Amino acid sequence: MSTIECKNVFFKYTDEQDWIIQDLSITIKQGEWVSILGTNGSGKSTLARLINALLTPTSGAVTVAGKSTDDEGEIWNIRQKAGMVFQNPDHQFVAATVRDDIAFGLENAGVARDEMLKRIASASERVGVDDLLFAEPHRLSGGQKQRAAIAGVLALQPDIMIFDEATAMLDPKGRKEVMATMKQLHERGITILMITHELEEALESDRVVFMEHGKIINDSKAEEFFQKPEFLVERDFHLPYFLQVQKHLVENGFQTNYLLDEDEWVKSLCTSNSRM
Amino acid sequence: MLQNIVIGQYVPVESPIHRLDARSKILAVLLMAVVVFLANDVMTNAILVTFVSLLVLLSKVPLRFFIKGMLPIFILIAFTFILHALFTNEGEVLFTVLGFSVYSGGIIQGLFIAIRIGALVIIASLLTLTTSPIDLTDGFEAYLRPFKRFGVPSHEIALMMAISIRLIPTLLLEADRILKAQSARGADFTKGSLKTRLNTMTAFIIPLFVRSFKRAEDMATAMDARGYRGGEGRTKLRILKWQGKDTVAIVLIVLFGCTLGILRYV
Ligand SMILES: Nc1ncnc2c1ncn2[C@@H]1O[C@H](COP(=O)(O)OP(=O)(O)O)[C@@H](O)[C@H]1O
Ligand SMILES: [Mg+2]
Repeated sequence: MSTIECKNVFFKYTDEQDWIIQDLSITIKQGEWVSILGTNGSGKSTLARLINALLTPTSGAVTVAGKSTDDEGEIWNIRQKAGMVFQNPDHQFVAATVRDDIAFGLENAGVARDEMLKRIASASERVGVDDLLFAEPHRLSGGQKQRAAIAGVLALQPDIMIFDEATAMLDPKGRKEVMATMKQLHERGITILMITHELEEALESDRVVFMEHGKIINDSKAEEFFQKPEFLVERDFHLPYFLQVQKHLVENGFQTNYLLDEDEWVKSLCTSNSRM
Repeated sequence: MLQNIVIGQYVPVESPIHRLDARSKILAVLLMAVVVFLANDVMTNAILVTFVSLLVLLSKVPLRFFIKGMLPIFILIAFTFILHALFTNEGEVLFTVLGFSVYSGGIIQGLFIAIRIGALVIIASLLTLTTSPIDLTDGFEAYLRPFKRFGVPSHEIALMMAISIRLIPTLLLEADRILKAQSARGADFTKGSLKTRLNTMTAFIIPLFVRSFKRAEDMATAMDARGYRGGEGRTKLRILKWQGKDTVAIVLIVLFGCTLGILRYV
């Protein structure tokens, strides 16, 4: 069980900079699926890196499972507990084959070889790259590479997985694969922290955190968050089509609140006996 | 197009030599580098040629790969051959060119030298043709490890080699993409004066470099995130297995060396 806790965190990369993260506090419990939205440069990636101890706060505290990221002795533990998948599939594939790449984290952690083989087998099976173990990265699609990266993190048996725009460079098929994998990890009780620009993806999560200028300006359940799509439209986000339609319906008084499941919404439309 | 590229020179076919441990193959190459110089007459050279030919046959690697490996040093071989042919004054005079008398002994000496160099190159090619780059890296690391106490960063060297090998196709792919992008904008790498060509090349090289630096930074972060902290306390998935056949291979090379030595000195 690993709770993430940020308390009054301030952060800047260099002394000359303004605060990149300012007075940020948030608690994320084990098993939650949190989307982090926000405009470019709002500090989302920085927050992610603060959580897995790639960065440490200038002031304030970040703890994972009660251990502070400031504690030198806990860094490796925290990085293993909170795994991270990055945006560019090609920039995080370290080894020559999928199998070697999944092994990379395990080798770093000093896992014995027998155990390593078991974990590679189970992690690769879980994300569906078990038939690609000996493939080289240049023979894989973007989605396959990202799933291999997920397997590499999963093999370390993390409690938390952070996805920093992990679907941004993928084609629709690759996105679907990665989202399906995330869903499955969530069902297994892994905390998912998903930085994204895609509202369709955020709809899958339980909780939405919206960042601006290094601050959290919204933190609510996904159902609540999407009840006020004006918030997103004002910030130039593109609403999914079925929400756009609902926005018109709500604005014209045909519907009282937003339904976030498209099928459910369509069903409700078909069964409603309003004047439409 | 890049779907089929093979990194390095590795030719992935099944053969007894392919199945040997990288370490035994590296050791064998080093031994052969000495043994080759024991051949000094017709008999020993004939044995050397036969032995190397047998190895080539055993490797099941198509002959053209060896020829390709020989091409770059063909000039060197030809040059040493001519040098020896011209400056050795033994045996009978065969003919005269440009005031130099060419003796039969010279031709023979030149041939011997050419055989030695050729044998060396073929033996070295055998190593890279039958061993995957990753195994080769592991093999080198194994030999470098004892020198760690003298400050040789064996793990880092091996990791550096492995990552470079892994990135070759990525780099090629990217080069290809930039080339096409620049061509689409009208860049022509084959026309114009040297200066304009240099300029076009810059438009190709700079983006390649910028992207490489970005990738290096990203990759370092990704490695950190996965708990990389140097070679200390690290375990390995890939293990090298020295088997009976590896010992046999080394014994064979030593025996071969002894045979040549005996023939030469006795
Ligand atoms: N390594 C760095 N050094 C200095 N400034 C940085 C560095 N990385 C990011 N920044 C700055 O921090 C701010 C937030 O960046 P980031 O967390 O990457 O935002 P986001 O992921 O939300 O787009 C940006 O203004 C960016 O310029
Ligand atoms: Mg970012």
